[in-house]
Amino acid sequence: MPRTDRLFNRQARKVLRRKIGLAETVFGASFLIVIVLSTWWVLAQKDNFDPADRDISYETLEKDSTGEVLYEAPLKLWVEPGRAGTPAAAAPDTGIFPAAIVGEGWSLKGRVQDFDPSNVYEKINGAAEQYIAFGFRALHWATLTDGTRSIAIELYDQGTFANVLGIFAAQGGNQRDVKTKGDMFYYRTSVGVIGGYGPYYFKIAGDEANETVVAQAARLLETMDDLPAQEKSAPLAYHVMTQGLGLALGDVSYERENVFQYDFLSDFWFGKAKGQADARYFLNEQADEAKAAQVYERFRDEQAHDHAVLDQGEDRVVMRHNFLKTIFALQRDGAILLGVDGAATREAAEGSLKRLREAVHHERQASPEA
Amino acid sequence: MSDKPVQKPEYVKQPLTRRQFAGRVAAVAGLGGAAAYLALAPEGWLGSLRDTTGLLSKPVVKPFRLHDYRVDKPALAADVGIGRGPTPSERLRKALDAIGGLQHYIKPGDIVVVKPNVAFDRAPNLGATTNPETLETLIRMLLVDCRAQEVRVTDNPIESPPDCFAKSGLNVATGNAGGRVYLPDSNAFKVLNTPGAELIENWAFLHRPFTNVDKVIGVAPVKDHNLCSASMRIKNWYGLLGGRRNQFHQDIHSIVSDLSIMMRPTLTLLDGSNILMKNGPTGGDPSDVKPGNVLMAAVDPVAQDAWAYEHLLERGRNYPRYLFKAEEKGSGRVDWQGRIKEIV
Repeated sequence: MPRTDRLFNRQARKVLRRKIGLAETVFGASFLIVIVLSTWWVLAQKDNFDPADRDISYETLEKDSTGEVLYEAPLKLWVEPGRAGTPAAAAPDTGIFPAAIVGEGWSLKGRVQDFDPSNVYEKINGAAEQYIAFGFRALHWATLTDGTRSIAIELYDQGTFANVLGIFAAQGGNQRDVKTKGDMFYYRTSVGVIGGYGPYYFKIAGDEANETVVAQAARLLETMDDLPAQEKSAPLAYHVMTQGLGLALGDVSYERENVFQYDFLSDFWFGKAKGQADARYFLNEQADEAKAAQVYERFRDEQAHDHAVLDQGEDRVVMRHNFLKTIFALQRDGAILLGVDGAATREAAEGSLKRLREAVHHERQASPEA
Repeated sequence: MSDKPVQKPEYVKQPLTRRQFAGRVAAVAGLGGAAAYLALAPEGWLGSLRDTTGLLSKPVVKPFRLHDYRVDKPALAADVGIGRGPTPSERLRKALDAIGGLQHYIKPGDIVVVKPNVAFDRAPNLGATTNPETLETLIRMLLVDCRAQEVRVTDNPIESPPDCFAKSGLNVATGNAGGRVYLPDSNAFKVLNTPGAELIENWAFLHRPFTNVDKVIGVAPVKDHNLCSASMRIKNWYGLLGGRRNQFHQDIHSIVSDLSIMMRPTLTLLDGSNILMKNGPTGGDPSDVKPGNVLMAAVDPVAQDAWAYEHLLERGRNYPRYLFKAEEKGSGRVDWQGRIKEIV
């Protein structure tokens, strides 16, 4: 082949050849087609690839990894400046939970997670709405592990004791074998404890039912005493119903608004009257006596539309329902409204009202600050 | 003298005429003017490339559509099969035999996606997630009995997906059986178009595990649900949605019925081995969980959910509204009478 026929020659960018062979033409065309097809494939794939073809399994990654250490724990635990020497310096961050939740042999698994109403769905999607309906303010979630087992602590801040009792009842807790310890109430499950204390509703649940988990759950229950809260004691009405009248938790309920279907009545506690089929006590505490007197009068006047007055005194009235013939009794005692609804007879209603009034006085003396 | 060869010895350089010069200047001016027009003409003018609002360069998202993964059932098979027995294997085989057998629906070489419920970071004993024993048995049947090429297990829990798969026991169950877990990441979603859907006509969907897939099977637990009364087979497709899907809880019956037309699966399995009777969907107390020893396989998820609502959750025939909406959308029939076959 003459020198001037070479594809690559010293005459840059000049093709001196008069003829290009078939093999070269075919190769060149094929090469171009491959380039075009490759480009098209890359553009068409984007992120639409088959993961089975290109994802790398964890096992493969682990097998081929070189054991690179990305983080080495410091020889000494980090100490916040200015806190050196304090006992808490080396303690794990348990967030809102008492440090005592981390007991012997158990450690925090990951960090304590905190959620508010705007993001609680990230933890309990689908269940969040029920908690929000009962005044949900925050969820704090901690998981403890002893290396083989784990226990999750869910702590819901519902704002008030009444909301806690409400969510407890809504989830059927008041139908269980409820135990009390001061103002804390709870029942045990096969893997932990569910209960309430102050503004907190808590669920402690292990991942398996065994003695170790149950014992740890019982220990965690003790630590709930140390939760931070401005007001952990239950309201007077709760004490009156459960301690003064001796009602079981399942017989006590709370209505936040639209009580008796009146928009001016809110924040009422109810308790089933023992030995009377449909009768129930009710109790409401107003901000002051003047407000209570105002609400009492309006309540009495509204009830008079479908009740006949049987007896009336100062801040006290007994009525009979025009159609149901049940007895309704209402009394104001300072800033407290108390009464009985649905009693079968006048005597039963007045007897119940007397018991309720005595229970209120007794509980007031027991906790004068209330 | 250079010894370079002369390329064209006959070439004689011609002088540029005035006409040629004017023509070339006009051509350059024309090209320059056209370029200036394209670049500077106000937005909206014909051919203008100006993009002061950025709308012209906004990426256009082209939604995709899911395949219809359904397979016709054998002529004499029931629409819904119920299997009872002490072990997941026995329950699965009986339920699947009632609708024609797993090998009728899954062919050798198929790539199968299995969608369990891995919604929460909860232990299996709380009944909030699919029973890992059932999942493990199903994957073994797919790989051994049906000789499937690959079994992919996926879900998109809002909580940390690795934690949910680990705590629910489904990661280990999948690995033990030879399947593979596909965890979602931000690039695994594409906009799915579902014609006829009220709320999710175009919505982010966990797409990547479904690439090149031949068959889809859903395996859901039976659970109480505080918003829509029950979370069963149809509701379980919710886990494949991306984006801010929690907003759909405002209209939960519409979204669940939308899910019934979003996914047309090959088979739907409903696991009644651990029934969360109350406080769903998260639970928290094992005493809320009732052992059932029942498993359902179906080609009609609406009838399947209706039967489970009545017999497994024991809530009578006051079915959730989403089942009737799903029926209106053509996903199946609520009336299961005469279409059920139970093998005890």
